[in-house]
Amino acid sequence: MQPVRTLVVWCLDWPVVAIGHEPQVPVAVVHANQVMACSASARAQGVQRGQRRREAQGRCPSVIIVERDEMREARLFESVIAACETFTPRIEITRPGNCAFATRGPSRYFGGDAELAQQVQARVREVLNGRTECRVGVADGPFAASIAARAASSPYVVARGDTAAFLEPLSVTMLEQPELTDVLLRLGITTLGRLAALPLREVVGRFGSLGEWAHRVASGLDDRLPDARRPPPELEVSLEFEPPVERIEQVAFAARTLADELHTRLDALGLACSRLAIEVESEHGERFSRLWRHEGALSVGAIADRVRWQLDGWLHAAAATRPTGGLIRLVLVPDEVIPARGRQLGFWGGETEADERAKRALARVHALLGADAVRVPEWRGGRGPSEQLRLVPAQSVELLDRTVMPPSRPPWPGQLPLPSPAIVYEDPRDVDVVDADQRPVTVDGRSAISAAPARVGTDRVVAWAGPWPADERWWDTTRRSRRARIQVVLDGGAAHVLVVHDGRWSIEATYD
Amino acid sequence: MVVGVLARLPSDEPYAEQTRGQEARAREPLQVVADRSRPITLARDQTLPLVEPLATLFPEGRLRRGITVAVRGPGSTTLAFALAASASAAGSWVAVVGVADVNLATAAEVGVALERVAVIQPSPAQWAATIAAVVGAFDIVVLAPCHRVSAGDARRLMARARERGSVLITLMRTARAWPERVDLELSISTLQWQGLGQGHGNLQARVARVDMTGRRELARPRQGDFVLPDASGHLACALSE
Repeated sequence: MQPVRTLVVWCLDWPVVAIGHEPQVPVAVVHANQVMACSASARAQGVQRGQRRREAQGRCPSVIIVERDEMREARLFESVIAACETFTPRIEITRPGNCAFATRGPSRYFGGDAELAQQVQARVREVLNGRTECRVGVADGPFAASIAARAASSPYVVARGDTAAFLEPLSVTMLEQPELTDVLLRLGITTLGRLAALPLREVVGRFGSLGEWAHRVASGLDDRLPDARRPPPELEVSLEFEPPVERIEQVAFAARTLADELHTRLDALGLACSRLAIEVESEHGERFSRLWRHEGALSVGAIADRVRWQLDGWLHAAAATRPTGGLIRLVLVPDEVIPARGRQLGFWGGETEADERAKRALARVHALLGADAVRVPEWRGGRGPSEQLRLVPAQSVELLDRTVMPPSRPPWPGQLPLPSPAIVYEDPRDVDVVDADQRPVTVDGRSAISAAPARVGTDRVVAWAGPWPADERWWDTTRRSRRARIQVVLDGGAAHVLVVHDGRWSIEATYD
Repeated sequence: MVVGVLARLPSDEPYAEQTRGQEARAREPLQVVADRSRPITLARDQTLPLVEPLATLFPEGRLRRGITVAVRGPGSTTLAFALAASASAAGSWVAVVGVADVNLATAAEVGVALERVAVIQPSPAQWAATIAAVVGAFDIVVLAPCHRVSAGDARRLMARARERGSVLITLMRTARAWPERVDLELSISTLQWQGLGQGHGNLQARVARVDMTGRRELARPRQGDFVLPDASGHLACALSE
């Protein structure tokens, strides 16, 4: 299949731009505790993609760490898309910050690829208004075009048919498939040219469909799968809104159901969607449409996310491009489908079926209860029983393939000794602790206890030990905490950790 | 008019019967193929592994999938995690649903792989729907209802767990936390805490007695003494009787 001549617009560091800080402020955007984008000034100080949050903060202490917000990225990118839309109507969004369109029509109209690229860049720069750099590249096929966009700050046009020669000297790491390129590098196949020179059969035999894709891309052929095709029109799904909706919250849930329906329909035919058109109609008869593309196949969650981002983008766009009335109709059209190959799960380690099932169930619970209700443990370290493990939202971490308890943990002097109590109260219950003469037990400034505790509440103390003082953050006037803990075993066999803070005793934890 | 319509109906019947007969005939060979290619489930696949000391209490030393277990007494949380430990280490996922104030460090010490633990806090209104969603996907679901669970909900969840092969472990923090009769009941009581003196030492180990009663093959009451937790938080050896 002849590759489609494509123009790619790439806005650098889009996740950072979307946050909205000034370009000279060092900012790092993190996802799942890893830096996934950073501003130029942060990069100059040694922050890099893939670093852990702590590492980035170590390199550049003044860096501002922000969680990724894909919705915001997509909403702001809508203005760039609108600028590109003045050249041609069918724009494909690969991800916020990166879009592509076929140049065949517009290139003729605007006087050649080079002239078109110049004009697109000028137009997008105008919209960006100095917030970030924008690069434009033209080549045969979207992959080569995106590499061309990275090549230089001025528009870079690879002449028709020269794509293979353009890609030849480049490193295989450009494929951004670490698992594949790792092996290729160890085999001595360092450049795309060398990969393209290998016989296709052998590459497929060794690396499967991923290898096939890499080989096709490296040879300068179209990076879409050869069996990608336009699906029959009856596969589209639509939803009418009555009354018309004007806020994203009103459609977010419907978008999810619609995505589910589309996915089920495609699944029944053994298909997966690789390019999706999202269309809406407003009550005044205006129609809007956008294409979203994905290298692999769009899952239900990915479809629902993109629909939500796109609707948000339209509803918050500049007045000239915004629908003038509420939306009355939402249509999802699978614009290009590929046979669903499914996924091969690991036999030795890796992702197992149980992992996959658990992940799916968590996604379901997540939809049911909201983001903060589903949490997973993460080791933080600390002295108190509640400080060692923290629960973080499951969405903010990579669920599979992680270690919670690091094998070598730094010591925490003054930590409660093992075993740990099974219940640590979120709001500790105050309790009276008295000695044999019914006087309240106190701990003085030198951490000496006034008398042996005899009763806790109404229960007799069988055994006890302590106090263990913990004077934490004494350098910080607001967060300073000075407390002392004792362990007690009560009459019925219950064992507790009691803590005294400001002269008040409370049950902090129970050995249950 | 109406009579005419009714009169025409019987003539459709032979046709329907004929197609039904064809379908049945077509299905026969398919049934044979399906029977031959059905995967064999070994009895072992219907069970989950247990940590060594606890295994002595159970027939065949394994925890049968699909059962509902109620755990009561001081030490129930640790015992529940001890039940889940070995399965979790072998790759099963553990969901902790609606258990207030739980400290997962205990779970880690007893042997649960924290990489495969999710903690979910549903509101009482969505409690049953949440558990229904995780049963099947998570091999072990630990729950501690603090609201009134309706008997219908309890029955439905138990049936779902039985069908999907997950083990429900209910912490009986209140006496009537679970309104239905469960398959297995474990009650733990403290015999002695070791390591703590009068103003010196620290809690090191608990000697606990576990009583087990259940239904069907677990019907014979059993009892065992364990050190749970021991000085490193593990479930240590069963003490000799």
